[in-house]
Amino acid sequence: MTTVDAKSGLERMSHDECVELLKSKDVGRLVVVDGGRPLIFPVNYAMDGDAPVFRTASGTKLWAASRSPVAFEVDEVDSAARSGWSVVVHGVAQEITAFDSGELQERVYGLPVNPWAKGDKPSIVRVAPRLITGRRVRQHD
Amino acid sequence: VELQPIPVNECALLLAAGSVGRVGVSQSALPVVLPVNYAVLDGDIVIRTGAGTKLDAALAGAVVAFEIDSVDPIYHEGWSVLVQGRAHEVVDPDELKRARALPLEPWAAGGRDRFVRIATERMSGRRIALPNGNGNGGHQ
Repeated sequence: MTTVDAKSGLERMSHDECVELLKSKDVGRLVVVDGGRPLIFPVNYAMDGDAPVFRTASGTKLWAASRSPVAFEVDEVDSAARSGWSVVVHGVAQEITAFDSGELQERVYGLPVNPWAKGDKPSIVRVAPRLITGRRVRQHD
Repeated sequence: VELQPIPVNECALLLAAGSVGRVGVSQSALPVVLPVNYAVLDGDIVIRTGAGTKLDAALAGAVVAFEIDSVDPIYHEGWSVLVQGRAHEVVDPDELKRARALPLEPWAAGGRDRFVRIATERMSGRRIALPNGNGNGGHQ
């Protein structure tokens, strides 16, 4: 269900609407906290159900996000029209390894995702969602 | 995949040319992120927010990340610039006057009359060039 904040005009989107919007894009931004400092990186992703999946090279800061709380954000903003939406997946980043179930490995390795970081061993990371929230702003008069 | 660092002076030019970015902050050890309109003031990032908002509370004195990027949706070529620094509310009258003169139209209605400035303590950028953006991952 969509709810609207009367004061700001911000619409809070339902879980299902958020997941649909996540499925409609393939570039998102991952936020991780490294030594108390937040970092933001764009990544190419695909959805495994309601979980974003992306590839990254080992040894990068993104890889360091494995098993830590992350925020993954996807948006569409129209600066001129002053409207847009933003969906955030709060969850834990998990590197998918040989220890994961064969079914899960097969699923995520079949997704169309490319790593953007150089490295000889691209890992695949899945953000296990704990909470998905989304907001929409429509042009106000 | 080629990933080239962008020189700091070029990062500053990209920041000056943009108007929408994403701000990330650690709130109770959990990362929070949202898109914002921004403008550049003396090399620092300025965003407009309302009193009592989540963003307002999260940014007070915190070290935050601010990111802009441009990624081609088909070829997945592009760049991203990351700024890290401490955020503070603009309260100095002269600084406030300059912040109010910035082209910062708030998107959401309702008392968005406060300005937060993110000091550009660290700035880095990278270019991403993916030879085949068709999603097969077989670029090696």
